[in-house]
Amino acid sequence: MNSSNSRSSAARWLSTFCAVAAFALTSPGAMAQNPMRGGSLSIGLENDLPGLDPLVFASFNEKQAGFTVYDTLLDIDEKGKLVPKLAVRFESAPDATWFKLTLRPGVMFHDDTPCDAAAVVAHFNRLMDPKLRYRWAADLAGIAKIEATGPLEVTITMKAPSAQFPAVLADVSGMVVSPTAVKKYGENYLANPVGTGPFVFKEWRRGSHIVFTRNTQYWKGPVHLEEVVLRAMPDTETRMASLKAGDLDIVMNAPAKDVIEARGAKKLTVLDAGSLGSTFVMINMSQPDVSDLRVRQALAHAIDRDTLNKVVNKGLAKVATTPFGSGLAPHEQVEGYPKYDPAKAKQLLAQYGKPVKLKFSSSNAPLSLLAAQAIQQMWKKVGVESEIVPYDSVQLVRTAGLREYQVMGYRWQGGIDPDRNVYIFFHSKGTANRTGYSNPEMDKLLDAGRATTDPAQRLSIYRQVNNLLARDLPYLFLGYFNNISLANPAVKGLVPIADGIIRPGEVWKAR
Amino acid sequence: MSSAFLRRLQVQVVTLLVILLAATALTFIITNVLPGDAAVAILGDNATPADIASLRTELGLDRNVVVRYVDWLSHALRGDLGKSYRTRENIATMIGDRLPVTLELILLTQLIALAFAVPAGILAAYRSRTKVDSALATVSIGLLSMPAFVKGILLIYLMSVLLGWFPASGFKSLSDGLGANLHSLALPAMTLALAEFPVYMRLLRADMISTLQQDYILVARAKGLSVREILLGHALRPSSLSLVTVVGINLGRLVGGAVIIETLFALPGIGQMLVNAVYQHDQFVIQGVVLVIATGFVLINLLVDLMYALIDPRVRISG
Repeated sequence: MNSSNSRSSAARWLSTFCAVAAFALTSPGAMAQNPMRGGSLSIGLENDLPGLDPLVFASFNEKQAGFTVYDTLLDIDEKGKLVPKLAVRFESAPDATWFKLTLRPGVMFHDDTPCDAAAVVAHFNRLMDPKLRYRWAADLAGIAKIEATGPLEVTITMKAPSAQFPAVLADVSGMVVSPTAVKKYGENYLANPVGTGPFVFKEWRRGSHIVFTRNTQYWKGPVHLEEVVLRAMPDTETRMASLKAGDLDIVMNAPAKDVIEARGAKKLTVLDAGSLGSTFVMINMSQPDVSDLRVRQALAHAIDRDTLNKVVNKGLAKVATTPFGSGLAPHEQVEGYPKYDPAKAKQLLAQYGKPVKLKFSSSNAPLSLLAAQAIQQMWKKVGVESEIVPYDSVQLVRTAGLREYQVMGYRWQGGIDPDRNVYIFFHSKGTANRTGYSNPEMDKLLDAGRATTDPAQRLSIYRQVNNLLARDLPYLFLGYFNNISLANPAVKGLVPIADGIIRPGEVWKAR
Repeated sequence: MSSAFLRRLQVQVVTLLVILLAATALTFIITNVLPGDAAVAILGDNATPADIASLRTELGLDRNVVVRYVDWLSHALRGDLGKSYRTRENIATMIGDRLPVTLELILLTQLIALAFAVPAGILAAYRSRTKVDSALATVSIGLLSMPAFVKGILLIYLMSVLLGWFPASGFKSLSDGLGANLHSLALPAMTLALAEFPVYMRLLRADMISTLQQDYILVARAKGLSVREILLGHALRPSSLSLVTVVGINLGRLVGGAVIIETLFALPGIGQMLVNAVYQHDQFVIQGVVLVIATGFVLINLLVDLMYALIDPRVRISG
């Protein structure tokens, strides 16, 4: 293997890290006030968790708990760049077929097990055990071999070029669990998490709250907060009322109307973290009518996305034309995405010549239904009839996976690497290709995106992917997700990170 | 104890078993008819159809629904309610943790509702067809016609956001102290009580008015007893038969109300547990909660029957 090349790529990584560190030190927020020690931070979650083990982590709620008790191997910064966390050094082969991680020395899990190469290897082997049915197993499917090549050095060999892989280490898969605790608790590890993170698990009252206390031995230095409480509060109105009454410090994914109100009243801090993914109308390419490109173009031209954004999101979301949210901003460039043009839509439908009647599957969540109804009316204006078929969230996922739909309102919260937003969905062999879209040109681009670690080259590849998607239209993009949290103004040190998760290790409370 | 009473007890027990069988079987079939299942809920967005099929096999979801029900029933009869698909918790433990929260909520609700309804009902009966009576009637209708979640949100905004008297949500267990515990349950119990209070008050008022027209009340008056002695000592007990029935039956109905209120106030009771289980297609959890609620419902009815005997001697004799 070409080692001189890999060294230079490592050097590039390191210089990026240093630049980021320097930026963080001189940022005005950090200079303005010294963090105060102590206090309890309560965060309102939409639901109680299935468990506190990365094996079962799925939504924002679980990831929030994950970033409280665990550390990821890498992290992302405000600009969406990968930065070191448990791994201080990261090398990749120029063709992205292997990666080498150097771990931070002296880091201990909360049970005093050292977080070394053996622990990291054990962690990945556990996640890759098919019997345990890890929810993000697809992220690790490309690994051929993972081994400890030194006490603090882990080498990961891939089956094929995988430039997208490092980003996985900043997500759920990178949350390293204590191998001792996994052995000790067995199946009950779900309720007894042990990580290296800024907070130590203390207590879980099921259906109500989870308490974490400060990790006094944290490798990064003193943790400001005394404790973090994650509270399960299914009702949105109650979450907002609790925030206003001072019973809660942070509401994640706040509803648009409350964000607008908070911006006006200026009594709450608004943290707009941007996002990684998008919402869209997904098209089953094998279904009648929509298999014809002219019909898909007409449907795209008929949707007035600015109005839709105003109706559904009070204008807060950004209209989308690509699969890449603001956290992947450089990739958000496209030529030829169909603009709102009802006359053009009618013209295309006339060329198609047959009446178009659609079954429009949608989530039954109020805002999703509202969006579906608005789109239904927009389509009706150009002469397309559609019937909305509502599903609960589990049924919607099932219907999508089995391709038992014609067109469907759907969403993808997005990944940190652009590949995560396109490969599995648009590659003809993609594991989550729910549209049946198949285009050799697209396959070639997506494979090429995995085969190079050169950022400039990848940028150009994903822009071509955007252009191809705009031409073939398996998805009609609607808006980019927006992860907006509202917080009690006493909460300081909040950093907007595009995955929408609060990093509680940095947070402190003013008194 | 009389043989008539024992016979009634036998009938009740048989009824209990029939109802439990019917309720659990029906729930099993309904959750089974819903498209999508626990396998999809567990694996989520990223799973391939093959992953889902293999998990279905592992969980036994690919077996016939009757086979699965009989399997569940035979375990349940031995006291094994199974494990949650989602959290892998033992369901009996889950219910054990959460049932006390719901029971406490319901008990507090009834206490608050009765504490207001009994005096108000007596007052409305004694002063029937006066301004007091019609004012109470107006309030009742207003409270009855407002759905629980609206009352809940209004109470939250008034009592916690504006006045800051009670926490807007969340639960403190008895281990945090009785005061903190009651404080955390006050708003949800009041919300539920606001729907029960008017019913109880109107019921007591109606029965009380007819009691007050009885001859023995006239005799009592003639003997010169005070209004207080007549109302509380002579009229209240015979007037409270319907009230006791309804309070009892409502215990069961309130579990339904708790589903909404526990979700609204983020209380870790069996109502919220049931809602989550339905969303997650966590079938055994749904079964377990339905079993508990159905058992509770039937037992309460039995208890109400027994209470009659205490209040009304005629029931004891005639059986």
